[in-house]
Amino acid sequence: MLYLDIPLLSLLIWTPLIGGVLLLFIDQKNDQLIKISGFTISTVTLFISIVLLINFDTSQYLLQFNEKHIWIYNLDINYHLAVDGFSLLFILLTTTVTSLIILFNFSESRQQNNKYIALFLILEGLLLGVFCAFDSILFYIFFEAMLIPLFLIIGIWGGPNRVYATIKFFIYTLLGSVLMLVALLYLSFKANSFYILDYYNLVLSLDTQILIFLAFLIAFGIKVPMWPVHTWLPDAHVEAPSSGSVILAAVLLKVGGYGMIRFLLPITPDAGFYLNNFLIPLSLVAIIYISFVAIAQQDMKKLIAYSSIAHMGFVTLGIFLVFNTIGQAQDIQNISHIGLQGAIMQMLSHGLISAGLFICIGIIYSRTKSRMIDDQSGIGQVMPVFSALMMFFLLANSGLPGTSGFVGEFMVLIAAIKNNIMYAVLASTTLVLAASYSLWLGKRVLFGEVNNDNVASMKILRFDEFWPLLILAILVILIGIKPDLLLNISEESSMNMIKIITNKY
Amino acid sequence: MYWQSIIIIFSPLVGAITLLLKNKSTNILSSVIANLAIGISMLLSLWLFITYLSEPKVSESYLLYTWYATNGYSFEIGLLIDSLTIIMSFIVTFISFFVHMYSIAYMEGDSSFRRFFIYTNFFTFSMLFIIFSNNFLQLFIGWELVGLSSYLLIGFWYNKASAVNANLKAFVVNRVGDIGLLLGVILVFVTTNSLNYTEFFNKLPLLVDSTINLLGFKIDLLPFTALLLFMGAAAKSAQIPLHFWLPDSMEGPTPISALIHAATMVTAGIFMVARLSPLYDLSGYVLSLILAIGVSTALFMGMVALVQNDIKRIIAYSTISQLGYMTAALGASYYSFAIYHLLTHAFFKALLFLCAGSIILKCHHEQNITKMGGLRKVMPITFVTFFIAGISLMGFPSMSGFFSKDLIIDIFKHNNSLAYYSLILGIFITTLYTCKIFIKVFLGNNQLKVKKRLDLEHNDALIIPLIVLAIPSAFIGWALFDSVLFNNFFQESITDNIRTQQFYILYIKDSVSFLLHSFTSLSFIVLVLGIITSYFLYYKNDDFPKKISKKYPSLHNILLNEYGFTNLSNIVIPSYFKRLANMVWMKSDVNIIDNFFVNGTAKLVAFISLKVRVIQTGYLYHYAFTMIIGLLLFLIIFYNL
Repeated sequence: MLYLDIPLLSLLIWTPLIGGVLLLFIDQKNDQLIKISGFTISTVTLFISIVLLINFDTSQYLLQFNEKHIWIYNLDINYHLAVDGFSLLFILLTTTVTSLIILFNFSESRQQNNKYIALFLILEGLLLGVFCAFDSILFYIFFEAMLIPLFLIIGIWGGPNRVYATIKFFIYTLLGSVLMLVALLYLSFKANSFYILDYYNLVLSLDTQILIFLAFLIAFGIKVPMWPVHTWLPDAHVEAPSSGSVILAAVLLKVGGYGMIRFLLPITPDAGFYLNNFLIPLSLVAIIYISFVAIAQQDMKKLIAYSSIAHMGFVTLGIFLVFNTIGQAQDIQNISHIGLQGAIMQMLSHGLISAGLFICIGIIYSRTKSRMIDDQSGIGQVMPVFSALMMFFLLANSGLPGTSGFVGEFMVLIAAIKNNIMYAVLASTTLVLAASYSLWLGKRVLFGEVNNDNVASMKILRFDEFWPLLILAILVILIGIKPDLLLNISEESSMNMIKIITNKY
Repeated sequence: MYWQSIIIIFSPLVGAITLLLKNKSTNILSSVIANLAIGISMLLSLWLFITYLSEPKVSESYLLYTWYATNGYSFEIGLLIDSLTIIMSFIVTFISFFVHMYSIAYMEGDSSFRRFFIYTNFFTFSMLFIIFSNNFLQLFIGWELVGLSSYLLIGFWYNKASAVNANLKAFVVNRVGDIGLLLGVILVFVTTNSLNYTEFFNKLPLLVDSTINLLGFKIDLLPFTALLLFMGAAAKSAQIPLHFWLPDSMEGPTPISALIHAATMVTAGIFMVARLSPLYDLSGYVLSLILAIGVSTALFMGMVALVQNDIKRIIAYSTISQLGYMTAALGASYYSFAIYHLLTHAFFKALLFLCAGSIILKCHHEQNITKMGGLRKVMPITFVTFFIAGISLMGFPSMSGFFSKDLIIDIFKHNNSLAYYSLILGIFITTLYTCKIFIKVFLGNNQLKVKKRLDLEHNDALIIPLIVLAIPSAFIGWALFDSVLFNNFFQESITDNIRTQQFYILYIKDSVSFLLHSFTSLSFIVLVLGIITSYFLYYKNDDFPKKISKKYPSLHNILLNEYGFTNLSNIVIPSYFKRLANMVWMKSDVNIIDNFFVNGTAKLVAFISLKVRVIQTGYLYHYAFTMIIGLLLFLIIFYNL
């Protein structure tokens, strides 16, 4: 532990935050300087997160890199940062994807680029804050604050219907988080502390648990998003600029899943157990129904947005199945642990794959100025390398083994079949449905003859478009071939989580 | 064996990656890299096969690396080396090598030469990955990867609409089977806490009586697992009702049809069932189902071949039909007979396809056999090799196909007359369509006026594979008959050893007497009958089939529509799928959830605020009046209380 005396986590969070603010002072005409300094800041953040990874002790579940400073003395609210296995994985996802987005932005020139990139850096800092905060008020502040940069990104640089989309997105997610604040305050009065892990030891009656559960479920369910509170996502994606879509799909949605693991599972397991007959069908509906909706889409971004919701269905399925372990034999608990790990893997994998797909769509849009599937045809003949990469991400999206897309689904299905074979049978229809919408999209966009001038005049991939895609593809394959590289990081935290839930009552 | 196997598996992968990275590679360099990679695998496999033939060895199992391990569960990638592995690896690498060689000439001039070899090398790797697998997870991974290769290669010419339709169809249909396979694999995992074959087989006796709960019904675990796994096998090996992707897959380059859609990938399902023979031995009624599927596929899909005129489609239906024979043998629990037919079939069917490829090249990409004719003089070597492959397919005594196919038919001779006569009828049909191709293509008049050009027929890369594959097509069936089938070759790997030994003692005696005996058997009579019939039907009186189809148009149409499957798979299912998708989206998602609930809430808020706003008039006396009224109401209520 070489770096213990350095406040690594503060460094991690404040580097992009302060860097982003400083970027605002660079003259916006100096485009190259903006891009390079933005990229430098995000790479430094990535580097810090890798230092965290190297020094992280995977053999224990305790919080590491603790930083605790008194913030509001009278109320015992602290500036408390730390990481466990779950946090670390999402930190790595955030820093990787942000760096790649800023690299991808080298290819684009837009009005007020310094503000644009600054907002991404600030968003990165706030997201990292969400994943590191272990004081509930601090968590809440980061959780709320991260809406603002994305609100501005979509609202300023978005498409023609951006006002509708941003207001919908903002009010929808705000509704959820207000309820969460109530739940957090209740818990802190009960526990007499704002430290999140103190909530885990609370003994709550079933009625209380259900109320708290619902408050958290609405907050995180909207973020994930779960069916039927998902309709803000396709609108937000369609109106967001490409990089906005990337960070929205790759990282922002994961905050919902992370929150569920951090709050729903350990604090209100009884309520989860009680409500599970209602929760698991919601996840299955997300997987099957949303896949059908995705098949019907004409707009590439909407299609991938719906496919994100379907994939997140596996995440919630894996998480909710853990509730069924309460009072069960040891082997069912162990299998649920596989399901929980699968849910985490599915989030990380989806983060990388959807980032790749939204970048691909951004590349197509930057050339043909259309996201409609019908306006594209035969791109494979004009941009072969790009098409190979996009095809790769589509195949990964359909859960091809050897890519990360398979790992999470496989592990969640294991947990599902142990609980009820029908859950697994229904969830496994994704093999056909995901293949249908992904490959049909590929067929219509990449294959066939070139049928219009917009496609015929497409320029081949630029350096700064190629590398983000290639790096994402390599990560997707690497995780697919050896998933325990990532799974081992959250192994102990996940086992401990199962223990907390099963030992509590 | 460890290092040899590692090299066999990974050499094609290294080849594929090298080709992928060699961006500016010439055609010659690409073909050298690709062929070298497969050549190494092929020679090592051949050598291993020969050593296994000389003395049977115990099976070996190795761990390559751990995919993920937790709580005592372990997901691994490993190797299992036994006689089944070795014989499959020999088949795959041998055919793959010669198809690669053939492709050098066949794909010459294609702008995506390098891409072709990346795919084929990757395919060979994935197939070997399945074959050498020692656990279910790896089986599934390899299974999907060969599906991927097949997808990429069917759609190799991706600007061709028919090709990209076919590859989407192939992938999605295979995915339907994969649902079963994946669920089966997971079921194995949760019941035995392990995915390793050996551990699973060891635990099988404990699981015989266990049941699972499906929608309130108690179902026997093992047959259910076997059935789920067989779903995957049925899709990959093109068995009814998941067969209909295979004829369309002929849109890919012809060498691919030979390698993937005839000789190797489509036999993965057969291989899997043979590999899991201890499970299938215990799965009772599922075996009867497999038998029924196999026999009906063998018969009915063969009949469809009769009405086809596209040379590749005829051979494709023939492949489905022959896979049906293998499946029938699996259903009768004679797994090693199925593997043996897989072996001989791989050679003669690959050869048939490669001959077809040469013919198609020669005829300038004409595939309709009724427009061809008289190619005997133009392409003599193709003529001879096609003849060998053809009579081997028919099962003419002494040819490879005879030994494996008649053996399968003989299984049913004494216990299942329905299957027996169906498969005998299958021989008749096989003979008819094989003779049909042969007569239409090689005999008669040279309708296309194809010139005898030296370069195409005599291109070494095209010719050598034909000649090399003709040798095993003719002789391997006899050569390996006693040593592979009845010499305890599969003792370690397939459980039907005792059955096959008994069968041998009772009915076969030895290969020579099996051969001599066959000349008086029913199948030979049917075969000769078939040849005579096709002589009259297709040569002497070649408008007779047309008359039949005119007289019985419904029969012709049923066959042409493949008993309705063509319609179902091309029109009905996709259109209902899209309609359902559109309905779910527009009706439910947009109208109900988004417009009614989400935007409805917003509109409700707007509506209420619009109404409430009216009260806020801004006049002081309105507010004063409201206050006074309120105060009065307040007082009245409180005084009454």
